[in-house]
Amino acid sequence: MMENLTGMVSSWNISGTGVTVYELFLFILIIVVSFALGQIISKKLRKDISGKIPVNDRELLIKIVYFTILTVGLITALPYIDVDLSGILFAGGIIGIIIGFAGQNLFSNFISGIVIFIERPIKIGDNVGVGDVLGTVEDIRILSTIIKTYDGIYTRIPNLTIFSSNITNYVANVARRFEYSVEIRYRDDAELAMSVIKGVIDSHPFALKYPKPVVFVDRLGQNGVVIIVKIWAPSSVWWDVRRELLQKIKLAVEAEGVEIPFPQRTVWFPEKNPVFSEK
Amino acid sequence: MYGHYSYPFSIESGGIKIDVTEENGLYLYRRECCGEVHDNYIQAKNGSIIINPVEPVNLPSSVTSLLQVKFKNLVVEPQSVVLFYLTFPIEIGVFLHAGKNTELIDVFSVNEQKYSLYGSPTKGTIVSYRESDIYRTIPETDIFKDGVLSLTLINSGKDIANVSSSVFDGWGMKLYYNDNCVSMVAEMNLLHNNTAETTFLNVPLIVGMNKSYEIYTSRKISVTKKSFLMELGY
Repeated sequence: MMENLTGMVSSWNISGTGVTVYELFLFILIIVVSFALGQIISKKLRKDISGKIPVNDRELLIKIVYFTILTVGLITALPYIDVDLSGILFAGGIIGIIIGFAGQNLFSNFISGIVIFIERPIKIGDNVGVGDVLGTVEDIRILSTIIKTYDGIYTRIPNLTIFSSNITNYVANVARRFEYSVEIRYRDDAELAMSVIKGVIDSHPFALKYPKPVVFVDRLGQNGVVIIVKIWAPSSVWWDVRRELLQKIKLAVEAEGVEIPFPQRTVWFPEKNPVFSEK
Repeated sequence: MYGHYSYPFSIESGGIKIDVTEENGLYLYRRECCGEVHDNYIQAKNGSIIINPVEPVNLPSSVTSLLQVKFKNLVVEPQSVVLFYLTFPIEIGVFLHAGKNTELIDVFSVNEQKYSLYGSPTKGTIVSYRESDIYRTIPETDIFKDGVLSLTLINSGKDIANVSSSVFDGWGMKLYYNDNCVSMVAEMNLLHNNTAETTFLNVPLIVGMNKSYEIYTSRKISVTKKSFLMELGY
């Protein structure tokens, strides 16, 4: 009885078309399922990536995913109501090729953005160097990355450029080392100078205890003895430490009577120089 | 000096001076320590001030929540438990308590701070650094400068262990104080592969000590991880 009823309903034709009620039902079902699936996946995606990428990019990504699901659903459902997709697909194919050529860069940047997002060579707030651009990462978007240079300039770099460039991340490691070259006069006591420099470093909280700072006489320069100072500091504050310590070292060594030498030349004239004797 | 105060008030001890005075309907909090003066205006009529030692990982700025205490190498036999005492640097927190809220308004220290790297630059972490002697009994300390850390070292392994440092997470620190001592009680469990786990116990070193109001409590951060895993050696 039930089978007969189902068979009857499935064979009913809607007047004037070759579409049965059953096919219409499947069409509507697929569309509804696509809508529902789109909504569910969008919500899940929004929840998962919330806070990880900027709001505008997040919404753009969600829309792309949502409409892709709807499009796939529509293409799957249309044949059930006897809509021939071959013409649409042919036209769509041509349009796709045109858009593909036109949007090649767009697509490359998009894919690069996704790879950067997964690989995470840089994060928002990191001090980085990309090519010849040095600065702080302000934002990582789907198509581009915004870097604020140290002199406050807004710089937008396409993600493809970021992806294919050498990236230097100055804060990826928790600590980094910096170096000074301190030159003192030959007549000054190098041991005393090194001891004073070590004292200054020890008194600075962010000049790390370990790895130990290194202070040593590196070479006998043209104008004085060159002392090399190598110090580790937390990456997050290294620039402040580097800036503060050099001034403190200069003042401390000068307070001990050790001076930074001026460039000097001793010029000797031969006693019987013909140039002078002519005069 | 540690305790709860209704303002206006003025206290001076151990080279530290704190006073809260009324100025045209506002209260001026002023702290003087080591030649440094810190001012803060307070607008809370029925508030009070809490002064107590806090987790020693905040100065000169919060770059880490970890404290490393380095001590002379201690060789520990297998299957053994040893209790000893270390010292840690004290940081003093000043909180404003008004209504149901408590907010940190100042943190300072008479100690000089030093930071270090635990592990390597790529895989390690920055730690606030302190060197300490090993004491078998509770040492006498200046309660504004040094606290006493009671450390129970548990070597449940089958090998002799060489221990020369402990790393603690500030989020789990439990500080207690009285008129003579500031303390924390911790355990360090030596695991395999040069790994150890440090945990703070929420108990006073001496019966009757007062519990400190902690900075992470005032910041309403829920702490789920109460121990620190020293995976980069001890």
